Amino acid sequence: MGTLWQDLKYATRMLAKNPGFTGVAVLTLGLGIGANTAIFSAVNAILLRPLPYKDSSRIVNVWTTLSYFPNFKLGNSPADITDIREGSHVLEQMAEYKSETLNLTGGGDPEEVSAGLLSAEFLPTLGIRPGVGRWFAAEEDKPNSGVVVILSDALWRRRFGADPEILGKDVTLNQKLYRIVAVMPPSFRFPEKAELWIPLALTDKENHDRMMHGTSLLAKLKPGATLPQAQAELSAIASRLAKQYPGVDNGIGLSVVPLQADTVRDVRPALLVLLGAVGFVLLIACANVGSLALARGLKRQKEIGIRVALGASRFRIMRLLLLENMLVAGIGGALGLLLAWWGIDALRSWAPSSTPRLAELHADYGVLWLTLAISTAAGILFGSFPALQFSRPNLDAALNERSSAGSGSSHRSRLRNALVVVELALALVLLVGSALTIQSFARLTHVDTGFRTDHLLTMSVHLSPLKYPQTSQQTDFLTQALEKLGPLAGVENVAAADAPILRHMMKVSTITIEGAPQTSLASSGSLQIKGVTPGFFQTLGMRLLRGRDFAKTDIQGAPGVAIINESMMRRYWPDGNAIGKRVSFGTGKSEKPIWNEIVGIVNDTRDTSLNSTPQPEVFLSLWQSPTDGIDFYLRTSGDPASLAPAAQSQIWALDHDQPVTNLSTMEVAISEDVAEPRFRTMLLGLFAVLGLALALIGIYGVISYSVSQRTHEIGIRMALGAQPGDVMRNVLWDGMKLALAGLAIGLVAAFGLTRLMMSLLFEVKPTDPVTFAGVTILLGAVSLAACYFPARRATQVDPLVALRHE
Amino acid sequence: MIKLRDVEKVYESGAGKTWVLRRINLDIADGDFITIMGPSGAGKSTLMGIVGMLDGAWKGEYHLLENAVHKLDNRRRVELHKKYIGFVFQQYHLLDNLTVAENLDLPLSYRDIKKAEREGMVADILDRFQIVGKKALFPNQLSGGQQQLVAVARAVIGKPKLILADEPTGSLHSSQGKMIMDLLKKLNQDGTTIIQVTHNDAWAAYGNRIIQLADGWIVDGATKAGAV
Ligand SMILES: Nc1ncnc2c1ncn2[C@@H]1O[C@H](COP(=O)(O)OP(=O)(O)O)[C@@H](O)[C@H]1O
Ligand SMILES: [Mg+2]
Repeated sequence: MGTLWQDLKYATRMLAKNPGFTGVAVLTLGLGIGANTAIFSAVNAILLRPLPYKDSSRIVNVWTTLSYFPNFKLGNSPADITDIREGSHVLEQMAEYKSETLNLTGGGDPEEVSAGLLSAEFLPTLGIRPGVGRWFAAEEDKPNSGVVVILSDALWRRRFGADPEILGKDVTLNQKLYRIVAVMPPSFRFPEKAELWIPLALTDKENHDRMMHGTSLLAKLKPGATLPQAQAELSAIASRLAKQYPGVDNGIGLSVVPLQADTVRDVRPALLVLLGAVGFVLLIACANVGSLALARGLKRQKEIGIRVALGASRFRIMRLLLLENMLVAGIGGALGLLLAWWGIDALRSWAPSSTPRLAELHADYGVLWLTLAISTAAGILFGSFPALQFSRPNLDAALNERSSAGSGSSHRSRLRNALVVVELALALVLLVGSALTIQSFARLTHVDTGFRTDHLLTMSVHLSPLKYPQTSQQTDFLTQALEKLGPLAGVENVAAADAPILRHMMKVSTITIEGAPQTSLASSGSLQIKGVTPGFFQTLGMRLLRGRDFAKTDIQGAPGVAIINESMMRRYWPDGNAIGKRVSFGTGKSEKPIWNEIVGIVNDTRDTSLNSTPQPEVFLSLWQSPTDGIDFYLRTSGDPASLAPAAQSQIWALDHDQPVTNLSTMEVAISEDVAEPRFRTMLLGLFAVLGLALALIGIYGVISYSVSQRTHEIGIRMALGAQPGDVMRNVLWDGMKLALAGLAIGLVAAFGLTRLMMSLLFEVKPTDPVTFAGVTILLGAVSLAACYFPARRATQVDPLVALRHE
Repeated sequence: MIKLRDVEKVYESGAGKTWVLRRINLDIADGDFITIMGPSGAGKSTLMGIVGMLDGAWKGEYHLLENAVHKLDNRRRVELHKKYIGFVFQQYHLLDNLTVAENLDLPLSYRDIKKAEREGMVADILDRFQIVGKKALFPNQLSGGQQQLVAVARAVIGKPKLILADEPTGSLHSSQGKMIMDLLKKLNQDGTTIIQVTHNDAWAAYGNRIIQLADGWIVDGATKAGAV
């Protein structure tokens, strides 16, 4: 024990005496471990850790699929749910839910809140209890009695000032009073954005509906049941339903997905790529510290030789060297832990708010142990190389100065060289990955949307169905709003539509073309449909390619009209003769089709999201298809953001209880649309820069160490007539041999690995040759620069000094 | 061949200046075999470094053949060095990770000579020094005398007019030392000018002139200022 203490003291002193080595090693490890721990915490909290519900691994969602909307997972119709409940023997504790937005009024500006409509079994199924108050009673989950509401912790704080006496008070939602019976704990967020919850309370009529696929279904696998069993059972139920109700359930499928997979589906690929990237950073860091330790060990060859000559056992030498390296790892680990804590904080506050389970991301004791494990492993890994090397040095070589012209250490320097090669290869993979994402992001943000995104203000108004039950009332509101917004100073054009742009929302429908056989329709796929007011295309800066815009006269009662986009024309009328053709929308086969004549053709747009390819789309006159959800578009002459308050107050002048949402410029909407790719691009870029910096430190360290080892040899060469240029070339070539080997290996690895990130790339191939070439050249050039400084030092070797013998 | 006038060498350290060479005036004729002697620290190696153009920081005038070295930049001095001068050191200074043949090729690799021609020159010199059998060996597989033999061969391979030998026998047994000295004598007889440093009176006698250095001053054998 006494000698251990002594060795520890000695190791500490050695580290303090070499602040350069200690600093670089600690910083390198700290950065690697810190970044790794932060990202691993995120992966753990979001992807790996079970959802915080009872029996969460058994919880599944049941979705309906329709053969003619192959890309969508829909909710289920209540009547189908009844059949599923009766027919399934593998699922239990089924509970229905729905997401809706409700207008919250009174005690502040009117606002629109996301609400979860939950059946009475819902929270018991998840095994969650309210923070304060009680859960809905079964009889409250009935129409006309469901006037109770549960608040989220966030809403309770934001809107109600964390009122401790909140239970029993009333709030107004869609003009109806609800009694507050509970406040949920802060961590509960389900469905996704819900801020309050009310009973689902379906009416009898709704319960017998088989058309509206609007109700989500949650269930648990019975203990022992497997997912494939459940899927098989549901598929059987689906085909039975399709046979039984051919009119409405034709082409129906049921799909069962674990809730956890559903929750994290969108972020999973990005998180895994980030985890890989950050793992590379840690590997580079370890290689770096390893080669540093090797170099330092070489410098201490003589000291260790003397220790061995004085009788130090192999064990003592090993222990001393390991102690030193583990001290470095320990300090690096502590620094890493600090960085990780800070990084997790940064992730939580900078990550796009759409990231699932963000609230569950905490720096916890798991992270602490993980950090310590990584740093100890790294310490042993890079500590063991030099220790094994030096615990049995060639005494003669170590003690005899004469044989110092660079030969004795050759296989150790090979090991160091190998480490540098690996570092550069890893750095290249990181850089290629990051360059691909950066390019993909640049293409995404410069994509041609098909409409003008500047000088455009948008806002959404969702009229309460209780206050505006008649379509005529909705039309009146729309007319008056347009009349009030149009004359605002700075507004050039104003128009409205029934769907927002770039918010990942679309209305879809099937289509019937007059005269075309019905069978082709199911296979025609989905079709976007959007009601717009006259002037919409002009306001957005779209191009009317043929025909005419909607007119004020295209109202209900007048002949139905439609405008289609180019994709639609190409799909159904490849000859271009679409104008004058008649189409009908909706699935109701029993009903008489309502024909709309195509009067115009407009250009394609990317309006659900920037990375969506334009789909066939049909525009209807909003006057002929009234709606309670209106999106306004204002083309402005000046800064659109400055018009936002005026626009909002015009709506409130019409109805002071009407919430206005999505009030933002189109440019802000776009930046929100790309928030997730931007965040991931930034993180990957950060890791790539980190990896690059570490790799450069690595190659610089190896080359400058080899120059310092080779002073004598360089002196001889100069005495034999070598010009500074010769010496420079010689040293640079030594470095570039390593760099080129690293680049070659890295290229092969990158070629194999980047295809894993295919799903994250937009309009960039994972093997994009320009990116590969560019990154290789860049890394080669900076490696050359990193070698240049030690090479220049080599040319300044004074042969007289180098060759002087002591 | 060589004319030094008031050559001085100073090391400046934090404390002040240290004079290593003081007002060196020296003339060496073509074909001379000069011996420099003096106690350790007298400045012998420093002088060799200046003459061999390994050192650029000194004052005074230095003429080598028709060249005014003190007026040349470093690049031109290295050119002169490559053209006229070969070095032999006390510690041989062979490169340990190169074979004998590769060590011999080293000075040629710094001159504009084609590969095939270089191979021929290496073969010639191996032959001339009778070390053909050792050409693939590494220096640590040779005895000290053999190593120094290779070092002399390496100094000679570029056909220098001047060989600077700083204590060439300093690390050798006397029999090996004699072999090296005989070799230098023969090179001198073949027309190469030689400057050697030695502490050994017997080896000093191989030369035709002895210069004594002490504390940076030439105390004996100098050229008087102004004389040629
Ligand atoms: N780089 C240096 N800095 C300071 N003093 C030096 C340096 N190199 C040599 N000297 C000094 O110059 C003097 C002459 O050295 P040197 O020419 O090697 O002597 P010799 O070869 O005669 O033994 C010595 O006193 C030595 O300490
Ligand atoms: Mg000397």
